[in-house]
Amino acid sequence: MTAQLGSDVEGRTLASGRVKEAFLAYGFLLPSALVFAAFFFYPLGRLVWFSLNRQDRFGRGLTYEGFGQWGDVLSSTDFLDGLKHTLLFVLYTVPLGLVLGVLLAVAANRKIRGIKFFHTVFSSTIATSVAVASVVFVVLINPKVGYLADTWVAQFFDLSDPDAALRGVALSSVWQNLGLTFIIVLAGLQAVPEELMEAAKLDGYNSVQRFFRITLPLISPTLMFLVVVLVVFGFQAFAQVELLTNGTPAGRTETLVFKIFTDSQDPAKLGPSSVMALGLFVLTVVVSAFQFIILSRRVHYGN
Amino acid sequence: METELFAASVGAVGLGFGAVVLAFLGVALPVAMATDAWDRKDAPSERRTPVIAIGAVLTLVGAIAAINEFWLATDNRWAVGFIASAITATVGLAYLATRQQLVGGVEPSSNAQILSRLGTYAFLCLLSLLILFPVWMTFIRALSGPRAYIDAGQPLRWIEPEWDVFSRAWSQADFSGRTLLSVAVTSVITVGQVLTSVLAAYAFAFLRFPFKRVIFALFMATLMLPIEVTLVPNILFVRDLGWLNSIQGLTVPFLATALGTFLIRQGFMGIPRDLLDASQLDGYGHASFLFRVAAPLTRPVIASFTVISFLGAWNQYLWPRAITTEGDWNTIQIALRSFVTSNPEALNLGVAGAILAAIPILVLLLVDRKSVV
Repeated sequence: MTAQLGSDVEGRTLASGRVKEAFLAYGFLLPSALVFAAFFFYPLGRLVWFSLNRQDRFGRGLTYEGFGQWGDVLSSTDFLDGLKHTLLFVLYTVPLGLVLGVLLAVAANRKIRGIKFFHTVFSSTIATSVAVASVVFVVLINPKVGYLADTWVAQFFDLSDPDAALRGVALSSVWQNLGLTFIIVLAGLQAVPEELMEAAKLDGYNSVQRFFRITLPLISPTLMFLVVVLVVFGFQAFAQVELLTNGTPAGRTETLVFKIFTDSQDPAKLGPSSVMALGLFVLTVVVSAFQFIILSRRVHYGN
Repeated sequence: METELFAASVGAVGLGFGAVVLAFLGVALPVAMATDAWDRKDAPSERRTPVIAIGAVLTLVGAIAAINEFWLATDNRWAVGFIASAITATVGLAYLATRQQLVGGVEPSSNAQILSRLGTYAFLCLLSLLILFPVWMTFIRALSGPRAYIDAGQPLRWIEPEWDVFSRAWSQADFSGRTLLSVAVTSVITVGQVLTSVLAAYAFAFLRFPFKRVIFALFMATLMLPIEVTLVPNILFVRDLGWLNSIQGLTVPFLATALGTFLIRQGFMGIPRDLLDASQLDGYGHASFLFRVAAPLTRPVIASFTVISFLGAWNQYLWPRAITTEGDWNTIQIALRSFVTSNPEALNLGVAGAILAAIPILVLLLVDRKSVV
């Protein structure tokens, strides 16, 4: 009888303990949840709603347009140009940045005197923001005041040439991301076991063979991770465009985010720019899903 | 005539560039020498100290030589500076490339090894220029008057240096106010993100509650919703709240982040559950377990997330650009814009401002190399 009562009381305290724990958990999650609800999910919902509507140029009243607006915007030259410039920007920044980052990391991955100094130098561009790096490249390649503006190299990234301007903008991003790329690749290289390289050396592999047959496969998860990070950075390019070209010449450097930003100042473009933002969202989701697949595979690899 | 002119200009540019490279090597190699000896804490100090001292003296000599070459560039002094730079560079390189174990243990090297090491250092120096040449140009552009620099034909050295440009940028161009605002915004965001992330991470790692998986998935989904995507509705929402040009507008949307929650949760999951059970037997509640056990144990993770959070907040551009219309609410990153896009006469102040904007992170990088690198 007493024993039964005891277990009953115990059961009840256990249950109330569970409830308490759940309340505590929700309390701990509340601050984050509020921010996520107000500034992530609520705006996403509104974005979808805006994308189906049209607003007049005084910002009064929404008229329902339906999914037809999606088709109209997604096939408009405005969106396709923005998409093209964004993808080209990614194409100009990611491979070059990756190759240079690997070059720096391989060159600096040695146990020799004074190498710490070179590590510090190579990682130093991590101290620059996109805006700061853009100022650095205004100094270098701005057509009016840039140091390189009048030299023969300038033709490859002349900010006043419609065909080359985007490459100039991309160049500043490549430089700005070098520090981060270097740090991550170097960490990957340092995780490659030394015995493996010694064994390969004994097997008569020369340094080029060792790099392509052993190092590169072993650091490929790191490189894939970096590709995703750099691609996402590329999708989000804005400050470098605004500071270096402000979309000129002839709109040839207007990326998607640049268009979304400029359209945000025109109430009549609310609907179309929301469709563009959703397009950007889809791109981001695809790349993030890719990243998730890589990360989960990487965990298995470690096991 | 024209070809002669061309040859002369190529020659001048080549010479100028050679001067920059030499001056750079004359400083960089002694610095590498001194820092190398500095870092070898395991070696006996009677071997380290002289190397550090010699490296420091050579660095100083190299720096003076460089200033000589670029600042007081009269014909004779060019030559003197060149020779001094060449000497400091050679000594630095000789130290670096000869015996690897001079400090702590001796290991003689063959000539072939020394030669290949010389090649390695040459290559490393070349790559350093890739990073540092733009930095150098930025630096001299900040120091030179914009008009004077262009009139002088855009040389590789500063023209009529105005050393007070940084103090003028700080006070006249109001980078002091911009820095203050950036510091305030960054502090609020960093502290806020760390707190909300630690709390949420604790709930996911140690507490049982209904809908845990669903809520976790929703949290992680926010990683796919960068501000670039939700920009326009967020601007409208913040405007409706009356938060344009305000500290709330600049910070509140960033007070939580799934990245922090995820990283710190990973750290918490490394803590054995037995520890929680034991602490509860001792009468600890969850709050005291979190702050006295879990958080201290995951300090490295929390520290590196703090750095990530700080970098992100300090470097923000799009959002502060979108919701501030008054100059008084421009962060330091946004303030750079007006100098670059609309005011060529004050370009040097803007460039100096860009250097000021990079300094806090540069200091963080040098002081706390481990958590950034």
